[in-house]
Amino acid sequence: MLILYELKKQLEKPFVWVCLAASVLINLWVLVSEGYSCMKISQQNQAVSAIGTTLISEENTPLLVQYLDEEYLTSVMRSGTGNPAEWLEFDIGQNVLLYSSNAYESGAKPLIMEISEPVFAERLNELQRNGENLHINGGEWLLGIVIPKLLMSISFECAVFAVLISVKIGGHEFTEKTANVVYSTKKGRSLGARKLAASLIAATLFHIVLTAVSALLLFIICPCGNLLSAPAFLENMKTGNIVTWFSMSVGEFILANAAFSLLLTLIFGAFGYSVWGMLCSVPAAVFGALGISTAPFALGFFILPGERLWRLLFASCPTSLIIGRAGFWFCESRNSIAIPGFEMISAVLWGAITVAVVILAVYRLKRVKL
Amino acid sequence: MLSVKNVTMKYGNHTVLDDINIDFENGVYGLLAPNGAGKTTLIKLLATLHFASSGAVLWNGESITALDEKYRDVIGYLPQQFGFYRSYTPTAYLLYLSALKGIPKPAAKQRVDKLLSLVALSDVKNVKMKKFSGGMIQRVGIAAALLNDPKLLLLDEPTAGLDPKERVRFRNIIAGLSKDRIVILSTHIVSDVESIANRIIMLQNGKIYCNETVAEVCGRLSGMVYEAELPTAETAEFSQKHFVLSERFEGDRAFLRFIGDGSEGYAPKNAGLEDVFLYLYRDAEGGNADTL
Repeated sequence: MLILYELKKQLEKPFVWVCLAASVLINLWVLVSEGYSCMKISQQNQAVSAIGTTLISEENTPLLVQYLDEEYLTSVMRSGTGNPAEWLEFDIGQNVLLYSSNAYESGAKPLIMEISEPVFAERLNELQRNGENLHINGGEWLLGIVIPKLLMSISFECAVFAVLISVKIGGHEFTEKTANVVYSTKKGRSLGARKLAASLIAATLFHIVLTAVSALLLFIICPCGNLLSAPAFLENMKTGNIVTWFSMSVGEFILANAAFSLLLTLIFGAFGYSVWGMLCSVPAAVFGALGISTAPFALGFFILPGERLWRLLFASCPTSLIIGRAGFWFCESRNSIAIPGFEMISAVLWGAITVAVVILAVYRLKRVKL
Repeated sequence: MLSVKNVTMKYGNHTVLDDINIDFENGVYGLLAPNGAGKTTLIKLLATLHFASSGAVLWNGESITALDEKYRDVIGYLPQQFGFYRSYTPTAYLLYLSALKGIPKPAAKQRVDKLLSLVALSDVKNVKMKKFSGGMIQRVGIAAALLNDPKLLLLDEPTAGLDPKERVRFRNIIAGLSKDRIVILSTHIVSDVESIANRIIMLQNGKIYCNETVAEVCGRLSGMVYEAELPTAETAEFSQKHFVLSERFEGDRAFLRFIGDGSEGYAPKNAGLEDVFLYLYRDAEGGNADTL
């Protein structure tokens, strides 16, 4: 019966459902955008390929180029103006929107094509290096490049902050100091295992909802394949395993996402619980909570290298936040107040984390080339 | 039933409790000392939230550490800072704590209703606790401590935040409960225990200063408490010469209760527990006190 109480506690705060809603929306955004890209490419790529090839191949031809992949207006290349976005590199397999300058000014639809030949990529990069044929609209540059780039750069720090905030908003025990009351009860000390189990059940329920909604929307809006055959990452379909090291269908992506989160919950939750139990260690609890929530980001860099990494990581972030509270949650099944100076240790630790995160974020922001 | 044997509790080099020995039988024990004297440490020790640096606590002759769940099954504990879930109603929170205490749900529901009625919270039993005053929260805490009908009731500053009416109500509840259980009530408010405690335990420099009935404790100041009636203008000079326990002013006259040796010519008064407390801890900041 206690596990039901713990599960209820895990699920009853509105913040938790806000996280789930955010997770669903972000996942849908990823899936839908991939699905639309898939359809657009299949319908238009063949038709415009020849025209695009001509435009890129001709020396000194005014061009406007936009990354289709990013789905926003990024850099627009035009003759006679300069403002190179140096971090951009055109490569084989990328999809670009091509305009002639006349067509752009007259509001004509762009041409969509994939860079299929090395010479095209070299030509675009040459234009970019020379600072010629580049024009970047200020507003579009800010919204399309700067902000996403900054967010990508400090995504890990954002995750850490999100965990701290989620602990405050979504947490019961750590902030409301119920440890003494719970710990002095008959079953209060064997609560940790139940809390871990409740975390896993909650995470599983969330992923079931996530999968069901995602699948439903995929079939309704993006009929470009079934759950197990539609590619999760467009680039994989066209160029092989570039975005990920392995090809994934949408269904596999969702399952992998769920399994990954559950595995991390189990590993970090069990670690945080056991170390917390042995040492009554506040750092262990913090490690457990931060570990669960931020591991998808950290490990994601190893298994999901690619341009769109940050979208995929944010897609799994909200659910990680929900279960990421587990590390702090265990505090209730241990008498944290028994540690001399507990309040001071907590305050110093949280302060140190905050300062470290801010310093790290500022340092990393300085290195971002915009 | 409950025995504290040679218990010493240290935080680093600081000794909070020093070789404490107490035997508790059914009844109310008032644990009286200033803030920081080690009352909460002792209560937490009995609630198994702290572990003694040396010595043992025995329940019916068995170590409470060895008894583990069996011991916690018979205790009710109200911490000094009662933690609660702000989004919970008192009913929901008490049902949750009932589950933690191993009380079957049907019995728990009846018990929760009864206790909420006892602490006069029936009217707000389905209101979220974030809307409660400090006194109402404290009453939920008292109900929580009583959920499992404990044989040992540990109350750490239970009347904090209660208004005078609630204090009286609380005292009556405790007095009624003490017939068949041990109640240990930690406080620095003398009036909380003066009328209901069977024995008063006072801590001094980490040791037990006394473990006596109220009458015996008050007897320590027998013949030493006097009351002087003076013009208001003379109170300052009088206070410099004597240890004044309390002052009361009526018009231009002042009535000073003080510790004396009888040479002032006033008739001795009966000493109260508050007199002993004030005199014993007159220089105390954290429990250091003089010996009577």
